[in-house]
Amino acid sequence: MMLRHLAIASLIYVALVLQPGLPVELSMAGARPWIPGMALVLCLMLAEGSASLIWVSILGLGVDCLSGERLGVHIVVATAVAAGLQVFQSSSRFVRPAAVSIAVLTGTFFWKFAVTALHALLAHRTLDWPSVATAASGDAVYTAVLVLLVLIVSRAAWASIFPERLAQFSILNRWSRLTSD
Amino acid sequence: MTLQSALTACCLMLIGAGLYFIPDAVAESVRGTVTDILRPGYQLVHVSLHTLIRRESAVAGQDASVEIAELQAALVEEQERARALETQLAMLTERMGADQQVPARRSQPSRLITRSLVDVAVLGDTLADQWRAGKLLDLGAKNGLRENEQVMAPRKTQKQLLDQGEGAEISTEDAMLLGRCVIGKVEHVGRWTSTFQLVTDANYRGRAQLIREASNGSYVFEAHGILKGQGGPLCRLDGIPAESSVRVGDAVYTADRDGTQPIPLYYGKVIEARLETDDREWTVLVKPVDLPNPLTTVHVLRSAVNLERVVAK
Repeated sequence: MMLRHLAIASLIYVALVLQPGLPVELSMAGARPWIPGMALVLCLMLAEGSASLIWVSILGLGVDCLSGERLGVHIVVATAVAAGLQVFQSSSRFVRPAAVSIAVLTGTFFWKFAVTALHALLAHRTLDWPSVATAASGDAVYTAVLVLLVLIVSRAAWASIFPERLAQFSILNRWSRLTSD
Repeated sequence: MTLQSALTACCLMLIGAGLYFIPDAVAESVRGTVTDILRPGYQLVHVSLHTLIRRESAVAGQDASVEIAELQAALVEEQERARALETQLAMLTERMGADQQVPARRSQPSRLITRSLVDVAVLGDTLADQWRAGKLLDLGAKNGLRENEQVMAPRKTQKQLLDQGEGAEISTEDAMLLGRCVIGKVEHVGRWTSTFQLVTDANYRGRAQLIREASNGSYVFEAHGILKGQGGPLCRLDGIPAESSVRVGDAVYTADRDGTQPIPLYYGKVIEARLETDDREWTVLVKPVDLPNPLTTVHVLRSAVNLERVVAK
């Protein structure tokens, strides 16, 4: 249990370190991967219940500190998004790559969109909603596709190296689903 | 989602909302602490990315230089081929006129004088100096093992030597080639070594002729002249009368063609041609082929008596 929380802390640290250092060459049509969005979904996968929400709020605090804006907005939004995804997670567990990818897509979109909207509202600025939505969806799609590709490739690599272990995992997963319901 | 999770989410969102209103000093302090915690990670990422980019750019640079070298080699090869085709076309055009007048003769007797290429190494300044100073071989005139004085005489302008001499049947005035291009000629021939003149040397003289591409795509031989070195990077082509035509871009080839050496060899390209109103001759400047630096190996086109013919008689 302790090891799992250590892993989540490391994951958040890595996400916060990597996001500002992303090379410009990774940008495609103005869209950039949103690594905290990936980290948010991973937090939900690795921790459960309130613990995952606390970790996500810590992630939000880190992003707040990096953003240079007033603190708190990212914490609120990330926690709200994580709470929403937890509802989604209870009906469809994040096991298959497609489910994880959809979770990343949704989480990133709402995070980016809500943060921009909140900042604009709090500063009493008018907002071009379609352009904000377009920008947020670009980042979200890019991040989700990246996650999907990484998961597919890593699964294929894992299957080619340890074919028997993959079979064991799928059985264990089915068993845990049966027992948890 | 359980009630506990919902309550936790609400609490965390309230904390977040509260953080929005904290004083700037406290916010900066929190921000500074978090940034300090993340700093080692940033530095690690920064160093790793820079190392990776530097390595990639080094590899890309190597690839590019290899590609440039290959392209340059291919270009030189194509230029050689183009020159060969130029001369062949010009000769075919010339021969076509002759064949129409004279009935073809089909017997092919072996030639009395044969031409052949000899691979020759160019000795560097240090080796040439040592050779001239007798450090490499000095058995003296008594033993009959002494190099030709003209070859041994040190010259300020020409230090380099060819590593072949009489033994390789090299003669004075033999053309020195780089591929199919004439870059000079043998000046003095010793027993083991020879001296040479480059086409750019002030004393160089050689018969030359122009070859030009005609409007129909064929190549034709044009005026003859004397190619003279000037001691600089360019040569002059003298002796072309005013009534001849010279154009910038005309190719300059050797004119010493006879039955044994029917194919002209390339000297360079006309880069300037002037004819003033009172001039009786053209003033033509020729750019010879670029020499590699250092010049290490060349060919010498030697003429030798066909021993088979001589012995048979």
